[in-house]
Amino acid sequence: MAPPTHHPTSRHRLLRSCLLLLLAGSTLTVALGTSPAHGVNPTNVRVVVERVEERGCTDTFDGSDFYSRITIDGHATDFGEIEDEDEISPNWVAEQSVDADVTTSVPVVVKISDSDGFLNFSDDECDLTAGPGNDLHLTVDLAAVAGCTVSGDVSGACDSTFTTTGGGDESVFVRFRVEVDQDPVTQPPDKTVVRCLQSPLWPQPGDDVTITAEALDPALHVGDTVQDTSTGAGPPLVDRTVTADRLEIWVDDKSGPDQVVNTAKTATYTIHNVAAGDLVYSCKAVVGDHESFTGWRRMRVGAPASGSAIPVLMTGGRANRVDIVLVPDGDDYTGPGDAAFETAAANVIKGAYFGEGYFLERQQGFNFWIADKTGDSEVPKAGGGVDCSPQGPSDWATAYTWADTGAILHANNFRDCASNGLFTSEPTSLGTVLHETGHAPFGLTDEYCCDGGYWENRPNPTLFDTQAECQADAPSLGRVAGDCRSITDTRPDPDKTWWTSEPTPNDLMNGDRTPPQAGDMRRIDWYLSECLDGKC
Amino acid sequence: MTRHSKQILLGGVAVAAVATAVAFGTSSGSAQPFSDTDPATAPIPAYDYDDPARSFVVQADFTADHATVTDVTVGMGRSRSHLGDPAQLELRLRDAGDQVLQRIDSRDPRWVLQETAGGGEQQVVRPGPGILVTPFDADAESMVVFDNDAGQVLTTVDLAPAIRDYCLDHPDDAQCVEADLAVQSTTATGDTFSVVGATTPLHVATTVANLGPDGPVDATVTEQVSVPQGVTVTPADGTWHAAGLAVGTPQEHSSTYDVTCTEPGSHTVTVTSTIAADRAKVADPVAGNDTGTTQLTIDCAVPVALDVKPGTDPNPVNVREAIIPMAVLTTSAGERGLPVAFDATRIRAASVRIGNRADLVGSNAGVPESHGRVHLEDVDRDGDTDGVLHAAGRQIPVTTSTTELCVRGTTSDGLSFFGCDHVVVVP
Repeated sequence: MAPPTHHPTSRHRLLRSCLLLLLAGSTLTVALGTSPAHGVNPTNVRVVVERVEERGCTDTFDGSDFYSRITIDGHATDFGEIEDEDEISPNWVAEQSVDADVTTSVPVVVKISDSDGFLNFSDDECDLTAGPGNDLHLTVDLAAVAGCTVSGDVSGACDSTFTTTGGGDESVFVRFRVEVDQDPVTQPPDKTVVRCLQSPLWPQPGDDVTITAEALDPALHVGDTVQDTSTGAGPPLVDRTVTADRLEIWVDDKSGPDQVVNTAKTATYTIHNVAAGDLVYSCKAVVGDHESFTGWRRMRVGAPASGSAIPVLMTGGRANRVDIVLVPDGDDYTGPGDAAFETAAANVIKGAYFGEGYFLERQQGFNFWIADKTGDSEVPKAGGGVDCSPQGPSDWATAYTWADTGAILHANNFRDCASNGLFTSEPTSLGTVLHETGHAPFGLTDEYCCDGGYWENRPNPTLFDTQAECQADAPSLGRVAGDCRSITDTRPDPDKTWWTSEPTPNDLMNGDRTPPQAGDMRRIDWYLSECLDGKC
Repeated sequence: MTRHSKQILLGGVAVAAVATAVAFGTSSGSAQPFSDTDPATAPIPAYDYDDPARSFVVQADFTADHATVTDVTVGMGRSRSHLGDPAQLELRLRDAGDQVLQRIDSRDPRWVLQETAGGGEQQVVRPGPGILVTPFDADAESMVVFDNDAGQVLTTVDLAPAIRDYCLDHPDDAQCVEADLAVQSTTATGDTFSVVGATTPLHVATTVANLGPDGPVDATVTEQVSVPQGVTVTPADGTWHAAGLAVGTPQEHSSTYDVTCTEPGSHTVTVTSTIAADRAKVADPVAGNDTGTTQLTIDCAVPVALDVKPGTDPNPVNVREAIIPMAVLTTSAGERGLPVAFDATRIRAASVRIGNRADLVGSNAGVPESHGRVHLEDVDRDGDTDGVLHAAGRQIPVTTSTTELCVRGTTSDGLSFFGCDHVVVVP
C-alpha cells in the first residue's frame, strides 16, 4: 500500500549505465573496487557476467570447469573455476574506476576458459564471439552524446543485457551487462555498513549457497540498490557501494573468516552442496578504524527443524527480535519453494529492510522467516476485480502467534491493504513494505493528511492530540515548537486534529522511498531496545 | 525532558540513535543493543523452539458493536509483541474472580489501512473475522474485549476450556498444576420404606481426595440426585467446596436431600458425586475417578385408613389384651384424605404385620394376623368391603406408652400399604 506520491527526495543520484543483471551466483567472485575516488571525474565501469552455457568449449564428459578474466582499461580481474557445471550463473563482477575527463573510451576484454586438467591437454579458451578470435572485445564510450554506449563484438546502450555465442566449435553462450557509474558516490571516509545475504534465500540440500557481502554507504535509501515500484517505475538505481579496507565472510564457526577480501566493495563466498540442516554465517566490513558487522545469522537448508515457519535469516530468539514473516500469495506462487517467490522475498529483504541505511544498521534486530504455506492477498469483488483482504496461511492463527508482522507478497497489481499485523505488497513495492512495517509492529502513525491511520502512539509518540504536547516534545527531537504542524482527520468521526513535528513529505510515514526521521527513529529504537529486554 | 546519553551500536556502527541531538526513550539499564562487532566473540543465534511461552488465540467475527467468538485455543508459540499497538482495543485478562490481571492495548482487526486510488492510504472500518493474540496466563480465565473508541465491550471470552485442554495435554507446563482428583466414596442412607405423600430424608456422604502429584488445590464437588417417576427430591443437586484439597488429606462432606413418594411402588434413587478443580489450569489426568455413584431403593407404600376396634372411639386397648381387632378400610382416592385408592380385599394376609410405627417402618417388625387370614366385611358400612385383622396384643406388645398401632403389608399386586390409628391404653 502506497503512501501519497511525492517527488523523490533530492538525492545525489548516480547516472547509471550499463551492465549485468545481478543474479544468483555461485563460486567465489570478487568485484574489485577502485581505490577511493581520485580522478577529477571519477567513473566506475563495471562488467557482470551472469550466465555462461557450454556450446562445445568443453571436451570432457564430467561437466565444464569455467573460469574467467575480465580486463577493464587494462586492469584484469581473475575469477576462479567453477567445477563440473556446463551451465553456470557465476555473477562475476569486475569493476574499474577511470577518470572520464581523461578516458572517454574504455576497452573491455572478457575471456572465459574451461580448465581441462593435465590429462586433457591444455585448457580450452572458449569462443565468445561470432567473428574471428575467441575473447569478447568491447569499447565503452563514456562520452557519447546519446549516452553511454557499448560497441565491439556486441553493441548497444549501457544498462542493457547482452548475449553472445561463439561461432566456432569451442564456443559458449554468455549473458552479461555493463554498468557505468558516472559521478560515483563520494565515499564517506570512515563509515560503511555491511549488507550480506545468501542466495538462494532458502536452499535445499545439495544446492550451492553463495553469500554476498557488500560495503555500503550508510546514506543508502530504498530504491537505491533494488528497483522500487511503490509509486510508478521509481527513480534510477544509485551505486551506494563503497570500498572497504577489508570484507570478511565467516561461515559455520568463529574460528576465523572463510573469505577475506581487501580493498573491495563486495565479496562472495560459496558453500557447495550444502547438507540439510542449518547454515550460520556473518559478514564484516572494515574501513579504517570503523567496523560494521551483520551479526551472526542462522538460515535453514531444507525443511524447518520445527514448526511451520522457515527461518531464512535468524539473528536471535523471537522474544528479542522483530520477526517478519514473508508469505507467498497462493494465486501467484506455488509455495515457499517457488523460485519466483524466493526471488521476491529476497528482493524485499535486500531492497526494503536492508535497502534503507537506518534499518540496515539495525539488521541485528530482525528475524526473517518465510511461511511454509501460501496465503492470499485478495478476494473477488462483486462486479469484478478484487478487494484486498490479507489472509495468512491456514495455520496463521496458531502457528505464527509470535509473528510481529506478516507480508503477503503477490505478483498482480491491485490496491494493497494492511490489517491486524498483516499487509499485502508486490515484492517490488519496497517503500510500501517499509512504510507498513512502520505501522506494524513499530506503531508509527501516518504523517500525512487527512484520512490515514492516526493515534497518539505513546510512548515516544510521533503524533500528539494537542499542539502543546507536540511543542513540548519537539526539542527532544532536535526541533523547535514551530516545527509542529497539524493534521486534521477530515472524516466525520472522529474529525480530529493531530500534531506532529515530523517533516513533510520527506518521512517514512509520509511518502514512499523516504527515510525515517527523528520521531520515527526514536520510536523504533525504543521498540528495539525493548526487544533486547525480551519484550518482543 | 530526560536526555539519554546511551548510544546504540547498530550493525557494528557506533551511531547516536538519531543524528540530531535527540533524546531516546530507550529503557535504562539494559545492555547496549546490537553492539557486537567481532565475529569471533559474537553469539551465534540458536533456535528458541524450546521457548515455553504460550499464547491465547481468539478468533471471532466482529460486527460494529459486537464480536462472536468462533474459536479459542492456546497457541504453542509466544504471543507477538503488542509494544507498538495502538490502543484501539483493550484486552483485559481476568482471573476466575473477574479481577483484571493484565490490560493489553491491541490493534482492532476491523481497522484496515486501504490503499486509495491516488496513492496513500485510508483507514477504514471493515467488520469481519479477526484474530486476537495475547500472552498466555494460566490464571486468566476470561478476556474482555473492550472497544476504546466506542467505549463498549465487544465480547467476553471464556478462556477456561482452552486452558483446561492445554493443561491436560501439557501438565508439565510450569503454569499448569497436575492433580488427580478423585471421589473416593459416596454413600446414601435413609428410610427405605415410606408412604405416598410422605417425605423422608436422604443422607449423602462423599469423600474426595487429591491423589497428586501437585496440591493443594481448590475443587468443587457436585452431587446430582436423580430419581425415577414415583418419587421427587429436593434439591435435585448440591455442590460443596473442597478448599485446599491437599495430597494425602481427603475431605468428607455430608448433605441431606428430601425424598417424597408420589406413587406407590419400589423406586431407586441414584446419587452421583463429581469432583472438578476450581481452576482451569489444574489438569486432572485421570477422569475415571472423578465421579462416585450410589443408590438407595425406597418402597413407597399406599397409605391406608386403619380403624382399631371399629365402632369405638378413642380406641381403648389394654396391655393384657389377647386379640385386638382392627380394620383396613377400602377407600377411594381422596377419601379420608388419602391420596391413593386402596382395595382392602387385595391384602395378602401372610404379609400383614401389626405393631408400632418405628419397628414396622424400619424393619417391618410386627406381629402377623392372628388367624392368618383377612376377614372381609363392610366395617364402615359405606358399601365396599373392608379387611378386618386381628393382632395378638400382648405380643406386639401394647404398653402403657403405646399411643398408636400400625399395620404394614402388601397387596396381591405387590404394592405395600401402611396405616396407623390412635389408641388409648386403659387399665
